[in-house]
Order: sequence, then C-alpha cells, then structure tokens
Amino acid sequence: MHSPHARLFGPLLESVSDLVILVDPAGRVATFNRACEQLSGYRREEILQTELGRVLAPPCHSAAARCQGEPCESLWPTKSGGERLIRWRCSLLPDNDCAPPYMLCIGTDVTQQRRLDKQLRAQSRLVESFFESTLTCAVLLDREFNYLRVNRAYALACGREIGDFAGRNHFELYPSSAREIFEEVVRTKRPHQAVARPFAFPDQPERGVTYWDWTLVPVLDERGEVELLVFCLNDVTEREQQKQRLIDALERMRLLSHQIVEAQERERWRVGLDLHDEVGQGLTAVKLALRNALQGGVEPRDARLAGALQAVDGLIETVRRIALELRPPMLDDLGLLPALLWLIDPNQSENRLKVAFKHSGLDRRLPSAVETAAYRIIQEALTNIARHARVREAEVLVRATEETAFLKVEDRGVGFDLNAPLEESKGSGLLGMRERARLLGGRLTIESAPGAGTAVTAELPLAPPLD
Amino acid sequence: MKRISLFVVDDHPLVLIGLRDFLTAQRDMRVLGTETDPARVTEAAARLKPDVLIVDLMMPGLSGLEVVSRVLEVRSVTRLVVLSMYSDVAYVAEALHRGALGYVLKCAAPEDLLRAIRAVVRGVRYLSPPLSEDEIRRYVQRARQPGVEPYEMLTRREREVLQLVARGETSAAIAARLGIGVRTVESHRANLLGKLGVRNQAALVRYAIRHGLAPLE
Repeated sequence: MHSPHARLFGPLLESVSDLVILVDPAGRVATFNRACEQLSGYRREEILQTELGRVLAPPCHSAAARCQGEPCESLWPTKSGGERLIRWRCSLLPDNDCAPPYMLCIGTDVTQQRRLDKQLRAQSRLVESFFESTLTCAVLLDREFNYLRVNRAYALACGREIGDFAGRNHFELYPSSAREIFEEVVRTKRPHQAVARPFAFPDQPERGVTYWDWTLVPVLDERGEVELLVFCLNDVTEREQQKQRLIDALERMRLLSHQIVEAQERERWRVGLDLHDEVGQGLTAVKLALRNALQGGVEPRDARLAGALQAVDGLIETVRRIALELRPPMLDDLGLLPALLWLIDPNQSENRLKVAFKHSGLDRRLPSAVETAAYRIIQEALTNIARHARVREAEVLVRATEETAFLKVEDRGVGFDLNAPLEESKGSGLLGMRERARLLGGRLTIESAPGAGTAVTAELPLAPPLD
Repeated sequence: MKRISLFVVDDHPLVLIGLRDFLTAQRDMRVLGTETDPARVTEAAARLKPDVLIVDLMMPGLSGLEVVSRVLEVRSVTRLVVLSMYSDVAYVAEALHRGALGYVLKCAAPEDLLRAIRAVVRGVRYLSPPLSEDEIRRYVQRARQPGVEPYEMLTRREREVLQLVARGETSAAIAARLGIGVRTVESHRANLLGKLGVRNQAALVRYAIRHGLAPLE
C-alpha cells in the first residue's frame, strides 16, 4: 500500500541528494529514496515495508515525536559493514491529531565533515601545545610587525610577561636593522633565515650583545597576500661566546707560538753575534799576543807556548762554528742558498752526512720569515737523519716559485713508525718543523715507515698569511 | 808617478780614520775621501771618480755588498775591495759575484790590504789568504745546480695518487687501493694540480705520462 504522498513526490525525492525516509504510522518504511540506497548499500526492495529498526538504525532512538523539529545525529550501518554518521531532521505528517501520523526524516551524511573537524581540532591542539611548550621563541606578527601572539619562551627570553606584547610593534619595542629584512620578507613573500645575528636589548643593557638564530616565515591569505608572519628565534649567545673564546684562545696560541719562534731566532742571533764579536775577537787578541811572544823574546823551545797557540786556534774555530750554527749570518746577509750551502758543506768536519742538494729559484731573496723557516726545517730534518736514520746520505730539494717555497728532505735510512710515540727530543723537533710551516700558513708532511726511510715535505707560501 | 786614488767606506769613524791615515802614508796612494754612511757612497763615487773603493762588508742599513752593486752601476771602472771579518766562502763568492775584485779579511795583516789595492788597480783579483780561488770555484759549482722539477717536490703519497690517476683510476678506486678516504684522495688531486701547475685532471694525466710517472702496464 503506497501512500499518496510518496506517489506525489516520488520523482522529486529521487533527484535530491538528501536522504529521505518516510515511515508510516505502523513504523514501516514507506519511502526510501535513491540517495538512501546509494549511501546504505541496501536496495529499496529490501527495506520497504520492513520496520525501520530491523535493518537500519532508526533516525531517532525511539519515538519520532521526541526529536520533532530538533536535528539529531546517529550512526547508520551500511550493508557492506561500514558506518556513516547522519544528521537527521524529522517531523510528523500531517501535523495534527486527525490522522495517524507519518514520520518524514531528511538526513545529510556528515561523516566526512566530522572527520575533518576532528582532525582540525587535533591539529590545532598540537600546534597550540607546541607553541606553548617549545624552547624556541615563537611570535606571530601582523604584516606591520605588530605582535599578535608570543609564546612563553619568547616572553621569558625578553624578560617580560606574555601580556606585555599584544598590540605593540616589534620594532618600537626592539629597534634594529633587522627591520629591513622583515620588510624584504613582506615584499618578496619569501622566508628568511638568520644565523648568529647580534642584538642588544635596549631595556637590558647589562646583557650585552646577544646572538640569535632566527627564521621569519610569511603566511599568505587566500589572495596570496602576506597575512601574518611567524617569527621563531633561538638564543645562541652562549654558543657564540664559546666560539669566540675558542677563536681568541687559538689566536693567542698562534701569537704566542709566533713570538716564541721569533724570540728564539733573535736570541740565537744575539748570542751568536756576542760569541763571534766578544769571545771570538778576544781569542784573536790572545792569539796575536801569543804569536808575538813566540816570535819575540820568549824561549822558542817552550813547547807549551806553541801548544797554547794551537789550542787558541782551535777555540777560535770552535767559537766561530758555534756562532754560525746558532744562526748563520749568511741567512740574513746573503739568503737561503748560501746558508744551506754552508749547512751541508762537505768540508765541514762536523757534517757526517753526504747531502745531495738540488734547488730552483733560489737565485733571489725570499721573504726573511720564509728563509728562516725553510732553513730551520731543513736543518732539523738533517739533524734527525744524522741522529736516528743510521744512514750517511740524504737528499735536500728546494724549489721556489713565484708564490711558494717547496722543500723536501729525504733519506733511505731506517725510518720510524709515525704512529708510535717518539722520544721527546725527536717529537718536539718534528712538532717544531710543523709549527714553523703552520705559522707561515704552509703545510708540512712527514712520511716514514720502519725500513722505508723518511721524507719531510713542506710548502711555504711566500705571501704572509691573511689574518 | 800617478798615485792610486782611493775612497774608503766604513761605518766606524775610528776605523775609518785609521784606514785613511794608513793608506795616506803610502807613497803610491792618495785618499780622495771617506764616508760612514753607505747610502751616500754612490753619489761620492760618481763625483770623485776614485780608482779603488774600499768598503766594509757589514754596515747597518746598507750592506757593503749592496754598495758594491750600486757603485758599479754608476761607475763601472772603479775597482772594489771588500773588507770583511767573514772568511766564509759564501760571502767571498757573493762579493765577487757582485763585481768586487778584492776581498780582504779584517784579521789579516795590514799589508794585505795594500797588496789587494795594488792588484785590483791592475785588474787582478786578490783574495786574502787563506781564501783561495779553488775554494771559490768549488763553492760556485755547488751553488750552480741542475734545477728541480715540480714533480720532485711531491710527497710520497701524492706521487702514488698521481700514478693511479694517470692510469685512469677513479678516486673511489684509488681510495680503496691505498686504504684512505675518497675525500683525502680528492684533496690530494687538488694539491697535485697546484704543485704541478696544471689546470685540470686531463692535464694532470698528460703531465704524468710526459714525465714517465705513469708506468704503462
């Protein structure tokens, strides 16, 4: 038995997207439109004339009258086992007491909408808790840089209350040259990242200069205009101060090392000069006196006098050699090549090493610091060979170009294990060579292995290192 | 008899007076002038035109060696005698290289200076004993050496890397072979370019082959 209403409105009901159910006074489904079929998965034939609650949950828990007029929501099981959340509005037809009433239920599927709402709420709770709990200072600014919101970390970092900021302008509170960057971000709509940017709080001069890593990200509205700005900052003052302290300490080390090397050279030069001038000339005077005595009235058979003369001659030579070894004056007066030729002179009885020496570009003076460093490195390397390599031959190569002096001292002696601890004198010698090269902004490589000899290679830039 | 005209340079005034008096006392010599400031010598030499100029090797400011070079630039016929307390052959060789004709040791007998002046004025080289021409010759020989090729200045490791590069090995293969990091190999390759003065890796390979550093297998 079909209701006249259903017949009359049939075509209309089929075309609407709302769910439409008409329940007859006996509680059986009289109308179940296409939208209902599509959503529930049940065909009309399966539902019509059944009691509504047998297959489908009724729109309202019990009597239609209870929810009359008021919308209500209920879960609708689908035939495939799913569930949809439907928002129903039910009313009784006709709306009087004359006839047993039909109940008209019009429903909308709100499953998707509810899901989105829920996600949105969850997200916003997440953002909120992140904003409040993060140690990063976070600020929302409008496009004129007025504070919209700040988090606890920001207020704390500024030494203020959260409530102090609303309505005030960032750059009125904290004027700085960063304003240009902010304006640029608004203009270009592109985020900006700053690293270790210095800032002094005008209201807290006792804090001195503070350093901040920060990002400024524009948030665009639907028209693509900058609506607000997210400003996140991290206080990196401590990190920067530590870095600066480290840099200062390294610089002091470098300076000290430089001064030690300089002082050592100066001292050697002075002692050498004193030995040569004072002691050497004094000995020469003694020698002349002895010679005069020998040629003069003294008994010529006095062998002791001749012996003394010989001893003085030997002393003069020794003093001369010690003075030269301290710092050969030819290094200052004539340059690296004459100094090296003296150092490896095979006629010197002290030189037990036979040195093969080849060089290029030494027919000119190099910067004095480079000449000294090169001389000392080669001297130290040769001393090491003579002391430890158990070999009588060594090779010295020097090549000076426009920019660099290259050195190489190599032997085919016993070598040593670079990773094994060295006896102190040798270790400090190697360290000294490295330091000489490093002070000039150069590089020194020591290559050795037991049985494979040793190669010391250095590069010394001729231009002083940039500070 | 034309006397030998002299000019004497020494930064010690007392030494200078002693030298002047000693030289003036010689019948065949006369002293045109003396100077304690080496910077003023060139001008004086050009003006007074001495036959022989005697200069102390060690003076503050400008060394006697520099004076030798400058005087000869303005007046090449002047003969130069260097007075020095250094008997090291390096100084002698340098003085001679710059054009001095005489080298007299301060510790030598005074007559030695006279012998030097009389020799150089005739264009004959004079060295105070025990300095000898032989010694100078040997020194100059030692100073003059065949040059050094850039590849000779490589470290042992750089040389190994270069050989493998020349064989066409990749950085990764070289790293595996030598048991070092790829980054280290890359930094060796970059250093090789600088040390050998070549522009790119292809030029590096050519350099290695040209200098026989890449044994063909």
